[in-house]
Amino acid sequence: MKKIFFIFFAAAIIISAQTKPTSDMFGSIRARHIGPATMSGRISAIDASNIDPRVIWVGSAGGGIWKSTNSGTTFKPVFDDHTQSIGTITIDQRRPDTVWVGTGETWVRNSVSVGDGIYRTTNGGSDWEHLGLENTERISKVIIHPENPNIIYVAALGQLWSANPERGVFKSTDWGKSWSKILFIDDNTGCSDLVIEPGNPNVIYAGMWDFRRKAYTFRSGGPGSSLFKSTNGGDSWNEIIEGLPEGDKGRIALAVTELQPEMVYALVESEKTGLYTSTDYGNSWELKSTSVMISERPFYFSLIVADQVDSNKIYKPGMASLWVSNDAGASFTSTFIEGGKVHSDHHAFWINPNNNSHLYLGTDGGLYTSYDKGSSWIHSQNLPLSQFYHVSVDNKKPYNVYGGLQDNGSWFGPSQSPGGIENSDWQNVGFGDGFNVVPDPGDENIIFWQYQGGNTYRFYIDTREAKDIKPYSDDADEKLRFNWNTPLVISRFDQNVIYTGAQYLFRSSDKGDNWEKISPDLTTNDVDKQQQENSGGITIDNSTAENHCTIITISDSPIESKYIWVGTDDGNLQVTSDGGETWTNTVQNISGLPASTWSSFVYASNFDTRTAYAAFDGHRSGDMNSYLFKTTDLGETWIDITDENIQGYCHVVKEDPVNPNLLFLGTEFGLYISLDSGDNWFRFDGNIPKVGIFDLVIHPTTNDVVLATHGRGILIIDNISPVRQLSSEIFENDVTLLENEPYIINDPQSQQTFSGDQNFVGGNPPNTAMITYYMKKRHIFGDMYLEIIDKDGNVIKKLTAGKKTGINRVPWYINKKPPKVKVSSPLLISQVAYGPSYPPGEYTVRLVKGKNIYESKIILMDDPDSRHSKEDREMQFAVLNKSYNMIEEISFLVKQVVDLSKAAIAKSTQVEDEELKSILNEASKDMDALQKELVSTSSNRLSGEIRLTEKIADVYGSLVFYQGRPTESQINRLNVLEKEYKKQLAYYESTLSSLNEKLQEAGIQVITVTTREEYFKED
Amino acid sequence: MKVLKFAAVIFLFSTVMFAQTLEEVLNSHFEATGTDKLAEVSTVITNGKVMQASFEIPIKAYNKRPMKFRSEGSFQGMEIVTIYDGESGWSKNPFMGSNDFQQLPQDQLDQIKDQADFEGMLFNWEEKGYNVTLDGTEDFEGIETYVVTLSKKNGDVYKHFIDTENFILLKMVSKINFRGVETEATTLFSNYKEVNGMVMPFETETLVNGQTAAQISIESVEFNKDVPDSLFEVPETVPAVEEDSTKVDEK
Repeated sequence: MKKIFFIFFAAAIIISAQTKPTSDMFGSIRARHIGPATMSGRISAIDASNIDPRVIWVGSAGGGIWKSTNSGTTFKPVFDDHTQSIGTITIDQRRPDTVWVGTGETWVRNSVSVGDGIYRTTNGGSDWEHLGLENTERISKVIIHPENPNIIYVAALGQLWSANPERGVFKSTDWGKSWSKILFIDDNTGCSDLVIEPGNPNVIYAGMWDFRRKAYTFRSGGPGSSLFKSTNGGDSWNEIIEGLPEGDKGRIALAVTELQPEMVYALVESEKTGLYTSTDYGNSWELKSTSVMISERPFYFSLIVADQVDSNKIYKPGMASLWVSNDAGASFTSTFIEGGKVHSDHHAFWINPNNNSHLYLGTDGGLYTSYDKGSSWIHSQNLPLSQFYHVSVDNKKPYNVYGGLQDNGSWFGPSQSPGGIENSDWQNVGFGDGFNVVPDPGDENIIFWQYQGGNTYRFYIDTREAKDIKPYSDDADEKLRFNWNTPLVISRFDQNVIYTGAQYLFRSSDKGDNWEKISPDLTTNDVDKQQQENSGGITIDNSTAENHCTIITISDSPIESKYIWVGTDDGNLQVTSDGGETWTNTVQNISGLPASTWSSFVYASNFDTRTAYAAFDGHRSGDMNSYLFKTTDLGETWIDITDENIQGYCHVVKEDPVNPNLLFLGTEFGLYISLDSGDNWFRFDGNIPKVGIFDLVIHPTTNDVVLATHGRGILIIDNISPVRQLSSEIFENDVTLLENEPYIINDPQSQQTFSGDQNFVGGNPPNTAMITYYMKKRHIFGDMYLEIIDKDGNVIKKLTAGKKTGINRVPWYINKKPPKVKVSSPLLISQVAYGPSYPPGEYTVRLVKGKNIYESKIILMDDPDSRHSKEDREMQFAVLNKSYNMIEEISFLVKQVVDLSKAAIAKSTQVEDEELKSILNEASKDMDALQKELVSTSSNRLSGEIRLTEKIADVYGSLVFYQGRPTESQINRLNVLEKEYKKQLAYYESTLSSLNEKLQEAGIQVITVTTREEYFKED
Repeated sequence: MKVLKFAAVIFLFSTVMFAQTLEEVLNSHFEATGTDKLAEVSTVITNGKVMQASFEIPIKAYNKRPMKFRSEGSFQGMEIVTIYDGESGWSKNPFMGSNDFQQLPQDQLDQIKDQADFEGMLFNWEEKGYNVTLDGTEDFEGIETYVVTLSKKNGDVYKHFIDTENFILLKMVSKINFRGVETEATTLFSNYKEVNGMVMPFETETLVNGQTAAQISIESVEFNKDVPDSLFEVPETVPAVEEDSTKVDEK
């Protein structure tokens, strides 16, 4: 079967040079964001409007910029078209719709992303202008001159992974049109913090930081680090280090206050990291504190913020708590008194300058707000900034999504949920930094999860027990080298087998109780790259984040168990075709790939044992290129399958399980799709920001593509089968109707929540039949619509057509029109808001575009997994439609009764005979009374007027939301009400015929009322 | 040779195109859509339907010069009516809790005014007190469009995307302050047809956050029919609208 597909697609998808498809081809296919936001993610920058602190701008490590105008009740992303890594945000406080953004996070941990310069909006975030400084990679501060907003100072850290000259302090005097570098030390030293003297903007203090990260080590500090001051707007600078520690310094943070401009705070990393203060404008310094509260991990937490109301108050956001000094830095204590359930790692902080009880705190777990100087906090659970490393899925209906997060543990949650996927739908299973979270295909109660450095657990959902199952070495002296992000995969050939890797590949067939070492050391085992005990520079920082010479990616062939691929972080790409007996390093067969490039992802083909795809990521040595290769001969030769459309270093590549030419690539800047095995790539930008896609999985039954983003949570592209159908022939044709997926008529679901607006709610997949077609060009002129035709050839529905270039997906809500009624009561309208579903079966879809007509089929089917039998469903259909018809009939009767009442009154004015006049008047009154028996005439929802229509609608409204067998009570109730209806109908009919007889006798024209045909004609 | 000629034409065309000024773009747009024909039109009656997810609501709209507007929709016999007489507006919408007419607050009135504007807001924009700029071109689904930005004094901004070939409006992105909340929406125009020399979109689709919020499909348009003034008259017993219903009572 697979082979047939292979041949079919190979023939079909050869994109001709003429058609030149673009990303527009994906048309209306869009990703939905399902969060989670319950744990949020790392916040790297905050600013708020000083005059209206309800306006908050939040910059994140990998999830872009989010703006709130209501104190954080709701947030909107405003930077989705640009890099999602944010260094700093500065509002022009005099015109707060103008905001400057320095991109590139400056909290330079191992997993940090990259920026591309400076941006400005002048309309509150709707449009952004890129204003250069592209190669600075990270910007730590933007300062607007308080008197002349055309003057801008920028502190640029520069590139993290390599030396470059675009770093230091930059200045623009023309509102960002051009920049001059006003302070530069060397190619390794950037500006970590910049402040200007309050009231005297010509005085600038700059903390310079000499730093470098490599894949296997980090250095904070060096000869370039120092503190500088300019008194002439940056024209010249003096080093101001009197009283600061001797020797190399590391990262420096600064703070000043308007209350005491002569007072300057400097947090200086050194052999003895401490807080220094100057009371003479920085000319000399005095050590105030070396408390561990303020000195931990300076590269990651070097931030101090001075209160602008209380001159003695200075905050140190950092690890474990928010620390505060109330004595100008002499001593520190936690702000947490009444509360403090706050994520422990703090990177951004804002104090309301007009009300210093009011604080915004940005942490590795999102944004918090305090109204009591940090004693207690509100968490914003509406910022879906979760940074996933990996994603996996199960086969439940609906399926669950599993993944681990940077600094936020391991989680799983549903891919859909009644009313949307809420934070509370997600379950935490593991702590620390989370990576692979994998459901055991053989036991629904088991999930495997990891924390950093290869620590691996088997977790039992029912009891929440977790068993540590990581492999150990047989040799007491040997250290297993596990990467920060250690691979853990379920075999694609045998779901009872799991693999993990240190420097060796391990295999277990008993859920991790026993591990078999099935390889030699597959890395370069370069001792120089294994000096993590010395990593960190001035402050040793060995958290497993720099572990190196490790296995990072594993993929076994789903066709043959003995074929296994392994990639290592030091650039090896190994393969075995005998189950691990022998291994071949194939990386030397790849031309154009720099040596030692991180082998970020390898994927064994679904269709051929000798075919594989390999992504490489050189960004940790400053190489931002995209590397992606394919082999069809088990690594003997590799071809480069990138093109110029791809942006960003590569994290993951997957081959579609159905169409071997369809490839998905996740890079640091989004998702790319190739329809032709990598010859051409197109960015898929349907609701996907330029976010890092670290992992992806194609669900085997729903055909959804599930994306693990490192900053925007989980994104799902529902059902990519239309993309599988794209071919060169389709690109040539004006319109092509694609194969429609059968629609399984779902049991309706409901859930009531009134949880306010401060919670993220993820979208559900469309729960309706979808009609899919491809259009070469957008439809502009003339008619275009869709018709649904039943098996008897009746047009049962006319739909508005999608007009987009590319794939169009048009929902067909498969309900008939609601039963026709003339409503007075809001109660009734809610009962009869929906019509019954059309029955299962095959329907014709007709697309009319101008003079052209295109036809395809769509099938509606019952859910084979539903608890309802076919008979029960048929009974529901029959009873529901009976009540539907009864409502329509009674509504028609009401119309006739009203007509008759009016007509009788009208006739009574025409007749002379007093008796007949009286009979007509009485009849009119009777009909008015009858109308009130038939349907409520009150517009008050709680009037309590329950009449015959409402009684039937009560049953109808229950039946329409349940697909199974109706209750006997419902069936009996309808029978009783039907009798009542017939009685009233008979009464009306006898009244009408009796009146007409009398009118006829009197020689007067009889009364006519609305006919059935007139009443039920189309609106 | 033929190819060369063709290339030369394209080259010339694109040179001309880039030289377009705002006035030229708008004039071409008005010409393409037959705006001059509207001068002879005193009333318009439009029939169609509004679709929101699975719901369909038949609607009928009346426009009468100089600036009168009325729309009627009904669902299951319940009527939604909006009236604008050129100065004031009223509406009743049982689905939003008002069974009787009530006066429209200012922000809704501003939007109705746009609907009552016969020629659309771009026509004679200076007289109407708007600011309009031509902000270059932008690709829209493979079609090159002029970006014409209209700003109102209240800060509302409407970006019009007019295709450079046919000068037809394809898309509008509006950023409106609605009761103090900034709201952004995109409206797409299609199924253009010629009626009495005028080219009009018979379908519009409004998207919020990229998702379809509502679609309007027009079935018929009639011009210069008799539309009585009474249709736009103030309904009796309309309670006065509060100055600002969102204002917090400070007592």
